[in-house]
Amino acid sequence: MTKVFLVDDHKLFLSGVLTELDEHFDVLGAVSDVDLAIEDIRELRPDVVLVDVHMPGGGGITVVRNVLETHPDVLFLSLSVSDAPEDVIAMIRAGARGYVTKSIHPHELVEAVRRVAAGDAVFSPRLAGFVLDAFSSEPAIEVDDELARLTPREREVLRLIARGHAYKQVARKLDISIKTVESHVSAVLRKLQLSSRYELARWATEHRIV
Amino acid sequence: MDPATTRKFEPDLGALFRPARSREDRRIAGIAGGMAHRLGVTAVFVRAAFLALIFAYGLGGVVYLILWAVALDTDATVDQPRAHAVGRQQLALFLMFTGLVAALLALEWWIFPAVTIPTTVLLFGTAGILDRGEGSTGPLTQEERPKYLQVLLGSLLIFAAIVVFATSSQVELASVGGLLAGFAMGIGGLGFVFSGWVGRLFGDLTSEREARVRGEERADFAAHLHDSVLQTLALIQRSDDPAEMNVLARGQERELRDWLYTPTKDGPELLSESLQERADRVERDHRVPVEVIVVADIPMTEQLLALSAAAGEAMTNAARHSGAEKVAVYAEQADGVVEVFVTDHGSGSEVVAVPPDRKGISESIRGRMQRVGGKVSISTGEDGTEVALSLPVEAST
Repeated sequence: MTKVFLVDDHKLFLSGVLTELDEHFDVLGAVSDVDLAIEDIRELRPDVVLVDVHMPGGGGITVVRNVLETHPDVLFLSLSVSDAPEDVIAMIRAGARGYVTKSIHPHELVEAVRRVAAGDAVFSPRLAGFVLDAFSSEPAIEVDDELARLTPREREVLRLIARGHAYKQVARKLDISIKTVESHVSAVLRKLQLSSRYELARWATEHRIV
Repeated sequence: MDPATTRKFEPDLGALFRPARSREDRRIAGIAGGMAHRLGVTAVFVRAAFLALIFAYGLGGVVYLILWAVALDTDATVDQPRAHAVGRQQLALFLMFTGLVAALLALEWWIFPAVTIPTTVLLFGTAGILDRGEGSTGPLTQEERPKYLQVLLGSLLIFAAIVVFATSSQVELASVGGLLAGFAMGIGGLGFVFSGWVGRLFGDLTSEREARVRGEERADFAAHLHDSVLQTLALIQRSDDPAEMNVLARGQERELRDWLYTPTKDGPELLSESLQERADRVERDHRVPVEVIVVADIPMTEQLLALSAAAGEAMTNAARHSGAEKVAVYAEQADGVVEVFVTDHGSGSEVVAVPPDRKGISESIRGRMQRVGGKVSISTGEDGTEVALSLPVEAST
């Protein structure tokens, strides 16, 4: 069974998520403190960590960065009330495998954890929107970095996700398998995390993120 | 008979000293229209009087400018029903004007009386024939067609003018004047013969266009009322909590007041803000979360306002009828086209459930989009419903 760990400074929310996930996963623990979280995750080695963005002591980003330095195989899923672009993009760039907001339905959250555990990326409609927005304008200068572009298919997949369709429906609409949808989404996530991309930098500047 | 016309005419003696401009009935600044309204006559007579008085060393023009300068601002007259002077009062006003002209003539305050006086009479004759009672701009209705007596009197005046013109030019203006007079008479005659036809033709064309514009305005108005007031009333009927009804009613009241009385209030500046505003409203009214995602945001325009309103209506339908847990709104601008998708994973019953006589989809969505040159496509299936709106826009950077 997938081992899950929770990090959130909001106790009430923490206990709520705990009961929802307990039926489906092996929940190793839940903490509200950044330093404690880093220690526990290194020790307990969960498969998936659900991490809040805003927390005292550095927030989710600190947890993700520190743990990935020593344990790059831990998978992070961001769970936050915030859907501000700077939070979403910052968490993804730090290495989170997905970003969902706390308004997500319990069964969708379970599905998201499963997906991350399976090595896939979780793109909420809003995240897909941010990525499309960042890539929306054609680069004024030619960028040879292939990470700087979305392929037409990736763009199509992101658009459908942004329009609120589930992976299954995206697959049906594009007449491809769910696996293919997942690989497109993972490819986009990799581009986001790895590239020092021109568009993303410019987009971030325009949105006053950096 | 129209109540406005049977209403007792009360001569307003202060009228000339409290000029008001008419916003609807205007050629230059609406002074003549406003004055005609006050006096209870058709504006065409007032205009003719102003024109005629221009010959009194520009008196008409000067008076017009003075009135313009001191005029009350527009709307004072517009909301009062127009009282119409009956024949006797019209005659009195006409006599007053004639007296004024006679006085000016006696003072030798008139340029070329031999030419301009008959022209003035001619002007009034034509005005009399063209007068359509209420001075409406719409197509002629049966009652509005010129009365025989009126045509007869008008024709008599014109005939008299021509006779006076002809005789006086023979006597006084001799050779050069005669040529001039003959020329003027020819033009005047042609103008008279054709003015009716041309005027009627133009009148019907412009009135047709005005009717179309009014029709579109009415459709927009109806669409707005449907989206706001009718929706809220429906919500109130479904609610059995007095407190909630109160909240809904007050919210709607505020919104309606805003819409009615502050038409120039600053709306949202960006498409994303506009869509988010509508999504918030749907979320509040129907308690279904609506997520708005906008890629490549653009500043609002009139057309985008219609697009946003149509999208808002699609959100409302989805939240109300589909039974979906949430509604997704995605807007994107690419290649000179703005597209908005309103998606839900509900039953799809909002498409089937809304009968054609209900205005939701046909008017608020399709009608709106068509009026601004956009397109609508609605697809529904087991996955729910997606309303796709697209609208061409000017390429933006």
